[in-house]
Order: sequence, then C-alpha cells, then structure tokens
Amino acid sequence: MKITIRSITKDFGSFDDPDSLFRAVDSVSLEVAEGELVTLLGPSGCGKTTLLRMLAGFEDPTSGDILFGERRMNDVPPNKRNVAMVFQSYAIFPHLNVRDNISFGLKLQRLSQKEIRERTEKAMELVELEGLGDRQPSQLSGGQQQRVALARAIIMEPSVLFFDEPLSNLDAKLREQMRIDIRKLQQRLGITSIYVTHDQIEAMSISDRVVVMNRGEIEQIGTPRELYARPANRFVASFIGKAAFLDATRDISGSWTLLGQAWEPGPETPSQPGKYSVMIRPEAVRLTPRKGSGEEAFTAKILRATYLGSLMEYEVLLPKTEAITVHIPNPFEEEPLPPGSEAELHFLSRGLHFLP
Amino acid sequence: MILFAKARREIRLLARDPLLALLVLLLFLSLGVFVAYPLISVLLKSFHSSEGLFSLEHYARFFSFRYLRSALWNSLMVGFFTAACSVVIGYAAAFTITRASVPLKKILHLIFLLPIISPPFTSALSILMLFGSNGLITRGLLGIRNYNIYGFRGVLLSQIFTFAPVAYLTLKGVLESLNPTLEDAAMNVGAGRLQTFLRVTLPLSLPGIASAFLVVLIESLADFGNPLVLAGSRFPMLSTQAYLEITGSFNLPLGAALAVVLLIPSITAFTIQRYYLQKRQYVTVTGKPVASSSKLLGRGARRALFAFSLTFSGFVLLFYGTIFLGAFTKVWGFDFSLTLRHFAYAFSVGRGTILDTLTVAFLATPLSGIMGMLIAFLVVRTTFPGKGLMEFTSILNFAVPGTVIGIGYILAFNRPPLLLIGTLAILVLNFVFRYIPVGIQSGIAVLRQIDPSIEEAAQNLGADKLTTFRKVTLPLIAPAFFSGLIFAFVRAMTAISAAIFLVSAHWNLLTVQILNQVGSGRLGVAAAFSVILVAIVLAAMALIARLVPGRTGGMGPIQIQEE
Repeated sequence: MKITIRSITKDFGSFDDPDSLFRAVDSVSLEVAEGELVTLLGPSGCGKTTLLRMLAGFEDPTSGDILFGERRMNDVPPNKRNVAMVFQSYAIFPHLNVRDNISFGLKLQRLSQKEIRERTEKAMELVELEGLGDRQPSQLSGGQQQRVALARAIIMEPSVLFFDEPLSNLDAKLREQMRIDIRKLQQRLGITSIYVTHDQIEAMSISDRVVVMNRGEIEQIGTPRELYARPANRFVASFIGKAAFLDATRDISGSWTLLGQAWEPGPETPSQPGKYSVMIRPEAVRLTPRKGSGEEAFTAKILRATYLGSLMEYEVLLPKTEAITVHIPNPFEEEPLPPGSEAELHFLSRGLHFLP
Repeated sequence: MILFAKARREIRLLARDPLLALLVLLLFLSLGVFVAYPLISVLLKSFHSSEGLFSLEHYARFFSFRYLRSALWNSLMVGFFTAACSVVIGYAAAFTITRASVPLKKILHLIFLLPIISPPFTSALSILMLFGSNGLITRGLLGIRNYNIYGFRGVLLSQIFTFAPVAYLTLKGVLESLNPTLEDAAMNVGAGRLQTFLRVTLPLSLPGIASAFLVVLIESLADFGNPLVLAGSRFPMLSTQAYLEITGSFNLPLGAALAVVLLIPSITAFTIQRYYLQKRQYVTVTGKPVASSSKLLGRGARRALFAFSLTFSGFVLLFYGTIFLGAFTKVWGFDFSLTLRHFAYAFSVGRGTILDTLTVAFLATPLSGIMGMLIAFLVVRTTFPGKGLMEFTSILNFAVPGTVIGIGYILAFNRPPLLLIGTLAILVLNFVFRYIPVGIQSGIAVLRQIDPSIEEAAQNLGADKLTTFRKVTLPLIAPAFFSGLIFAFVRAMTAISAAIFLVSAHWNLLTVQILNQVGSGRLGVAAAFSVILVAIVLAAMALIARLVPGRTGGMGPIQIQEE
C-alpha cells in the first residue's frame, strides 16, 4: 500500500514547563511507494520516531494529513489501521508464551482455531523460531525476542510494516544478521515498510530509499548511493559516512583555487563562478611519498597512521586547514607513511562533491 | 496565559474520552468528601470557640496545661526511641536475611512478619500478661509484686515489637536492591569487611534507613492500641488523649486541637520521607536480584547476627505463645489449667462482632483495591488537570494518624445529607480511603515498570483500549493488585485507631472488642479474640494467595508494600 504524508507537524508541550512548546516534526511531506522500504535516519531527537508513531496512530499530528492508499488515516485509532510495528524494546507480552505472543492479534480477529494454529506455525517458521512456542519470554535471548516481535507483526499480514529501531538492543554480529533477515523477509512478502534508525550503515544496507531528518525536518531523500555521493548539504554529508570540507573558488575564467593553490578538479565541476565547499570522502584521496616538486599535488603532513586491516587510516594536515582523514585500501606489503613525514596528496576527481 | 492553554489542552483531551472524564470527576469528588472534608472539619473544629467564633482558645489550653503539653512530648519521645530501636533491629534482621548464609532464613523471615498481620496491640496484651502486676515473668518467675509496666517503658517495648517488622521489611527491600557487586568491588580494591560495610554498604543504605525511621515514627505517633493499653494515666500520649477528651469529657474542640497537634509531626515526617528521601534512594537495578555475596561477613559477625535474629524471633514467638496460651488458660497468673471457656464466651458475646468485622473487611477490601489500581492507572498512564493533586490527596491518609481521621469522620458525617454515624457505610468508607494509598503505591510501582510500548503493541495488533487493559495491563498488574488486597484486608481486620470512633451498637469490630475486654480485665477473653482474629487473617491470606493467578511470567516477585 502506498503511504502519503502531507506536511505533517507535531508540537509537544512539556508538562512541567508550558513555555517550552517544542516542535518535534515540522511540516514533513513524503511518499512511500507500494512494497518499498524507506528508512527514517537521523540523530536522536530529530523527530523520526515521532513521525513513525504518528503513522502508527500513537501520536496525533498537530496538522497535516496521513494517507494509506487513498484513505485519510488521521482519525483512525491505532487498532484499526492494519499496520504492524516492531518496537525498539520488542514489547513482548511478559505474561504470554511465545506462541500466545505471536497469535495475540489473530485471536482478536476471532479466526478459527485451525487457521490461528497454522498461521502461527508458519510465522514461527519464517523467523526460525520452530519448537520454541512454549517458551516464556524471559527464557529467550535478545535475538529470539526480536524474532518473536517480528513474527507477531508479520502474522497480521499488515498492509504496512513499521520498525522502530528494532536492532538497537542487539550486539553487532546479531544486528548484521537480523538486518539481512529483515530485508529478505520484507522483499519476500512485499510489504510497504518504514524503518527508523540512527545507524547510517543499517539505513544504507536495508533501504530502497533513505530519508535523512534533522530537527524535525527532512534534509534529503534519496537512495543510499545518491545520499553518499551527492549529499544535499553538510549535515547529510557528515551524517552518512565521513567527510571533510575544503573551501575552493572558481573565478570567471573557470580556473579553480584550493588551499591557496591552483587546482584542476576534473570534468564535473560547477560552471558558475564563486566560492564552494568541496566535500572530500576519506577514500577519495591518494597519498604518495614526497618526491620533490610535484605540480598539481598538495603537500600534507602525516599526523597519525592506523592500520585497520582492510584499509590504512591516516590523519593528515593540509596547509591552512584542519586535519582530514584519508583511507588507503589495504596496503599489503607496502610500508605505511611514517607519522611526521610529508606526502603528496591528490584528490580523485570522481569522489568530489561541490556544495555552495 | 500559557498555563491556561495547558489546562485547556488537557481538558480537551479529557473531553475526547468522556468515560475517563467521568471517572476522574467521580474520584475527585469522593476523595474530596472522604479524605479532604473530614480533615478540614477537624481543623475548623479546633478553631471553634464555645460562642461559635474563630478562636485559639483550645490551643491556648493545650499549651497552658502541663498534662496536655506532656502528651505531645511523650508521643514524640516514644516515637523517636521506637523508630531508632526498630531501625537498628530491622537493619540487623534484614542484613541477616539478605547477606548472611545462615540456616532457617525462610522461617525467620515469616516470624519477623508475624506482628504485621496481627492487631497492633497484640504485643501490648502479651506484655501485660508477661510483665504486668500478675505477669508470668514479673510475678511468676521473679516474684515481684505490683511491678509497674505502665508508662514509657511499656509503650516503648510493645511498639518496638509492633513496628520493628515494618522497619525490617523496608530495609530488606533496600538491602536487596543494593547491588552486591559494589561490595565485591570494594573488597577487590583492598577494603576490609568492616571498611566495606562502613564505606559502601552503610552509606548506600542510609537513605533507606532514614526512610524506615520516618515511616516507623509516623506509625508510632499514630499508634492507638498500645498506648491505650500500656500508657496509663500518668503518661498521657496524644493519640489516646484526643480520644479520651472526646469520649470521656465530650470536649470535641479540644480533641480536634490535639489531633491537629498530632498531625503536624506526622505530616512533616511524611513530607520529608516522600519528597526528599525517596529521590535519594540508591537503587541499583540489574534485573533480578543477584544472590548476595556472603564474603562481607566474617564468622563472628555472622554468628552474632544469627544469634540476634534468633533472639528477636524468640521474643516474637514468646509474645504470640503467651497470647495463645492465655486464650486457653483459666485465670492467667493464678490458675493455669486449660479451658475453652474464653472461646465459648467470645463466641457467645462476640459472634455478631466477628460477623460485623468480616462484613466490613470483605466490603472494604475489593473496593479499596480496585480504587487504588484505578488511581494508579490514571496517574501513570493518562494526563488530566489536577493529576498531582489527586495523587497527593489519595496518599495523604498514609500519614494522617487514624485518631485524626476518626475524629474527622464523626465531625464530618454527623448531619444530613451525610448522616453516616453508626452505619456500616462509615466503617467501610473509612477503611477504603485509609488503605488505598498502599494499593496506589504498589500499582504505580508496577505500572511504571511496564513498558508503555507493551500496551501500544496490543493496540497495534488490533486491540481496543478496553481489550488492551483486560488482556495485557490487568494480567500484568494482577500480582500487585492481589498483594494490595491482602494488605487492605489485614488492615481492615486489625485497625483500631480510627475505627474506635466509628463503631456503634449495631456495627462493632473485633479490635474494639479486644480492647474492651482488656479494659475490663478479662485478658483471657481478649486473648481468645486475638487468636480468632489472627486465624481469620491467616485463612484469608491463604485464600487470596490461592486466587492469585499463578502465571506471572518472568516478572519476579512483587512485594507487599507495607505502610
């Protein structure tokens, strides 16, 4: 089912201090296509969870419209929305065993015993919980509880599936596995899904599209590739991956200056003259030992070199700017550049992105 | 302006949920009538001169008469000493149970709790039987004639045995919630056992100790039964003096003034306990309580604690044994041959009283339980204007001595349209509103532990608000609800201080009956009534424990929260 959000706003008034009316979500508009998985990504307090809770019906929007398909949902209570949600705390019913937890929603629909049993078994199979139906929640590991929450949601065959930071309580290994499992399941069932997270890697790996939010507003919507390669602004650039920003100038004749030095940035550059901020990803830089008078090259001083296995991370100091991070793919036998030494630095033109 | 905007918003929210609005209104109304109005009546009466004008004459009288002044002093002295001794005993006992590896822990724990489920003057009665002028120990064993147990000594002794268990229960909770790994950590960095105790365990339990001290102080100030039996006329105390002014001298305004004087230290202690200390408790929650390390205690300390706990429980057993024996003994102190005639007498004169007591308790218990849970639910899960006021009013009776409430009720409900004096209703209402604080406290504690998203999950899966409450919230709060019920029942069966003002020829209570028997010197009958009372309470507890749903998931034990 398609989801349409039209300039949704949510204001909270602090209970103790009426003066601090606080706008959690500020006229956000968004469309999510049938079967698509869209992630709301942003730092804590950016309004992503509030937005999701409004979609699920747990918060009332101050203004704006929510549409599922063509139907306006604003006044539909949460239990009538036919959406399923996986909660950050899992929200497993502690007084019910695994099977009763998973079949909770079906039982409310007064389906036949047989159908409930079959669908419960099927859902448990889907999330690999076969044979654990009689366990109490307290006897389950974190990952298993997560699977119960997931099964309890998908068994409803909802038109929309919501995830509220579902993996934040799991350890790193399990998180990676569950991420893949959730994505596989979502694609297999083809359910329109909205996923909230503050983890950019999670967002990148699971989503069709990512919505980057900050202070209640949308900063950018795009595929993971678009967001990484062409961030709309500094916030997006530094929230998704690492980035350094250097000031560059283009004069009327089309020649560029960077760090007070003439510079040939490559073919894809803005055609308007003016001042620009150039986003530099750590992997868009090459370092070579200083040979002498390399024209076109910048001189950088190595501050720190850290071996990380698949890559070598350098912290280098460029003239007239702060230190920037450089990633060099696994150097294998090659000796790293020693801290304190000077090196020649080149920017890969395809890895550059110009912000006004 | 903005303040009004907030209230308006809350009212708008309420208006969307008319059922909730109605409930809030009804609760406010009943709390106003049955909690606030009686208290205000006491206050007004105490400023009421004989000409019907505002005057301070009763307070002037209080301060000019040395006898009345000394009642305040005596009550405070007894209160402080009782609280101090109870906290020491309670801490040692709690420390033994939570930190020492000694045998008989379960039995010791149950013995420590015995006084809590008994009428508050059981120990007074057994002290009379053991140390009175015809006491088994004073006269029988030591041959002392006319030993005078009445006064400070007697009241203090009986209050310690009545209230040390309360301190024990509070401090046990405190010590259990202190993470023992902190002690391990201290010893790991080289602290000795004593150092660890003095620099880690004790400071961390200090807020709990202070809290237990104040709770016992409040209880001691409010205590009525023990002073009435053991204070004697030369040692006046406030709670009994207020009662005597009203029933003996028919001086209602002076009684009310004494009640107000009694109220001041109680409310002060309550305010400190609730608004200052409760925020300073170091509760280190790490899931389930870990089995405490016993490394903190050396062999000597462990043995000393064990011996201490055995001694204390020995005294408790001695007191109860005395009552039990006394109920079956012809003439205590003179003729120890066995007899059933006290029971026969008790059943012949007291059958009606037993039935009355059961009626009151069985009516008041569920009402108080349901109301407590409702208020707890409203306070934790909803917003409405005046929420803080509702919470405050509903737990206020926790601190108000029963004597004050009793006087308030006879003042407030003695004329139409609320002419309730002498009815069953006034007893039931009194118990309901006196013991809801416990239901509310445990309800709030449990509800705060339930993640709101559990209820949201139920709604998300298609359950409406009522279904969610029935299928999710209710099963989760059931254990707390039932332990609240047990508590309310025990209190309704054993309370005396407010009830003594409200009983009548038609509706009498067992506790009042016991006091009357003590007053007329029939200790054997009083003992028989006490045995009957304790037996009923134990039977009811067993019954409620059976009704409690066994499936509580992995939620861990939920304790009865005591006053």
